[in-house]
Amino acid sequence: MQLRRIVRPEDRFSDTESLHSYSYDASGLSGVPSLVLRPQDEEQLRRIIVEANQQRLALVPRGAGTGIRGGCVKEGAVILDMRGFSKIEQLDTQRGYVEVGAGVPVGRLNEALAKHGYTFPLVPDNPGATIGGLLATNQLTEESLLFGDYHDVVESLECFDGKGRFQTLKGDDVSKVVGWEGTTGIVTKARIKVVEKDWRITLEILPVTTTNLGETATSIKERAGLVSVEYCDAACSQLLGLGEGAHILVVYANDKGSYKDQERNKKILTLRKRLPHLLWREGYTVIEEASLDESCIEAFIALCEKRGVPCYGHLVAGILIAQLRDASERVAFYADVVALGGVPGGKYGYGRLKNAFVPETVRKRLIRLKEERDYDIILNPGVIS
Amino acid sequence: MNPDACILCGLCNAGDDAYSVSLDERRAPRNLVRLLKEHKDSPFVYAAMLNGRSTAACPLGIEIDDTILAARQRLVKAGVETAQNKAFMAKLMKGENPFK
Repeated sequence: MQLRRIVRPEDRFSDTESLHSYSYDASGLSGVPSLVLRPQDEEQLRRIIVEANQQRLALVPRGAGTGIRGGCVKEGAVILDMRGFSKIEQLDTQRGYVEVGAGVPVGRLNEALAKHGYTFPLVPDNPGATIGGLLATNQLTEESLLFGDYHDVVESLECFDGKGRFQTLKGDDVSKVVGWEGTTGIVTKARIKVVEKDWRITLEILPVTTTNLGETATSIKERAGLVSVEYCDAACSQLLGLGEGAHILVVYANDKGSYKDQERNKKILTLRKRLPHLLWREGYTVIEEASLDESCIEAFIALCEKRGVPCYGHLVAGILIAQLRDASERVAFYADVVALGGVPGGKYGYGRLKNAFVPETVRKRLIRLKEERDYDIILNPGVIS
Repeated sequence: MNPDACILCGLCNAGDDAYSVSLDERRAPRNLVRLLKEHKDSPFVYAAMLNGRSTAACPLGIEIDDTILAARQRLVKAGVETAQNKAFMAKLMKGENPFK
């Protein structure tokens, strides 16, 4: 296979043990690839894509493999381990941007930025996730009300399309790649927003019941300076130390909140970031989210109560998360969410696990993008399909 | 906590310096635990730093370092060692500097 010779011997793996090591991510899915390549620069990556086109081979880009929807797992595919693109380049403090390689873990980026007093604001549950992986899945984070999603924090990005054509995308064009899970392009570098590290936050912690939840959420959502409006049921509130019963945790980037002690607030938010992990320890190891209209949020919370599983999430964005005990509960859970009028997805990407729930509008847009960018369907086939 | 409880989240990876430098999935503590769960011993267990940080990072409280150490001991008893490891130990036993 010509493909192998494009990278250095130490950057290609085809032995059983190595292939096994790249056959999974955090989704629980597995699929043994046929080859793993670690391109170290743009030219190697371009040649790999061109060669894969000629041989009609499926290329699956992979970052740290922390995704929970199986986006980088595919039997028989060629895995592109993108962590060779690991440089943190220019930090532009004047305009608040940094240029960073797709293979850089966000935790490492923030360690480097902290030395200059800056931080990348959209931090996922797992700081080991790479910038490329996060741009691919366009995860919603607890900071998304203020900073937007990953589209909104990218000023420009460098990528290759499915034909091996190098592109620099800016403005609205970044949405041709961001959020498409490696099916419309492979990102090598991005220029992303950074903010001052110690930005001041204040909190409001509001006890709620299912009868006043909608009213309370409506009264909050138009307020200025909102960073997040998070629902936490009684079990989650207890883990976060918010008090008895369910709560709404409101985070402001101004002085509007009544809790102003910065140290305490940051402790609460750190715990909130770790909430999925705290629930794992309680035995709720399967994370499932649902996109919900305002009208069905209360019914979803009641559903979680009935199932005896914890529930929390982004109230204003209409995405709530339930953590199940076992993957075998998924199918029944999905059916219940659909029956409520919700969609079982919306936060962590679709991957290979949630293909059945890709909305028709998304599917049609992908078909158009594939015609433009990856006509022969080389890039991550089987995702959002 | 038993390694069988591992859900492959990968939070342990950031704690291991060998992985953090190489970003090589084969050396990832998560991958080593997964292989050990499947009763497959990998010579990459010799690369793990066993500095305690992977264990500390595990949200499920899995004793990752102990698990990898036990695998190392099994490999040594079975005579499966890397050439570098053998040379390192030979020098150490002779009282020589193993890093030269």
